[in-house]
Amino acid sequence: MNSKTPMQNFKALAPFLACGCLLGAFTVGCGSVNTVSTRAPGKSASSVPQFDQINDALNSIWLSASDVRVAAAPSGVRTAQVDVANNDFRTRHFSYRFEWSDGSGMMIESQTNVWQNGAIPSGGMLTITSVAPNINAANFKLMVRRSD
Amino acid sequence: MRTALITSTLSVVTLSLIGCGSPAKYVETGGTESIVSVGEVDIQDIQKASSGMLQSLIATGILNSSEHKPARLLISSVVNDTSSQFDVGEVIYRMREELVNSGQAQVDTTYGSNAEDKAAQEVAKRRAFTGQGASDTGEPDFSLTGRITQIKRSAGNTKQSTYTFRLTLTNLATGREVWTKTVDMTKQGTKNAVGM
Repeated sequence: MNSKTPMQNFKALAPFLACGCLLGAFTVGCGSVNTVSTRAPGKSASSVPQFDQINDALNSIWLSASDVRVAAAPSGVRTAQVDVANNDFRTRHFSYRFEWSDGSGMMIESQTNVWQNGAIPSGGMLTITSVAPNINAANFKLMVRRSD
Repeated sequence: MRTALITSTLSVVTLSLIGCGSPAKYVETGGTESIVSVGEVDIQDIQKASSGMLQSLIATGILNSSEHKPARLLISSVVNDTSSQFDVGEVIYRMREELVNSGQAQVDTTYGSNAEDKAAQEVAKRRAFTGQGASDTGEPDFSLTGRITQIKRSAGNTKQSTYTFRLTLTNLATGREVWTKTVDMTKQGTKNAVGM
């Protein structure tokens, strides 16, 4: 038979409740991406077949791809955009580089092929962009590295 | 005995200190192993600025709208308004390399009193005087000018520098700005470091 009052029961459970609340706050407040978009989800996967590979590369440095787009700029050259999300509990710093190649797979040497830096706060998102160096560019390679 | 012990200890310490230094090695220019300076413009900053400018210029396609094909470009002054000493030509030359070698633009190196190629300017003058000059003596289509500025701030031991690279392209037929781009780079830290 339980002889403790409700207040005594609460006091006994208080430390566990406090720990649970703290854990919940960390999980919900920091880890989840707090960015919303009017773009229909999943559309990128059909427009860029390599979405999963790009996402895997970003996963290896604790980031993820939420959208990948390739479209023509006003001049006709291709432009690539990758929405990178940080689901982690802290700001992530990373470096990335796009390299464009022509239809036969030959890399196009360009002064635009340089390492860039990105920093995404916890729950944030960053769109990384690359414009192809010329009209012959057909495909791109994305390299990512952790910087923190 | 004691002297020998001290001598041998000192020798070991000296050898250890010599051995601890990192030996020189080649690293990728502008790569992720480069030195990052808080108060100076680094090679990777120059590369990023050139890349950002080029991508914007290529995306707009403004050079394709010129009277001449490829567009004729005049490089005007680009001012370094920062406390960091570096050649602004490092930014411009990277852009020129891309635009000229890909056939998107031609840079006029014999124009004006401060012509980049004095010898070529002399030859052009002589040819024009003797009537042997090329008929293709049209004026440039665009002029490129710019400025690089810096904003410094600090909080305690932490220093922060923002470098802003600005370039403007003017259509010489109208005298109006037809393209402009700003590339910002902010670096923060207490001391210089290796790695981006």
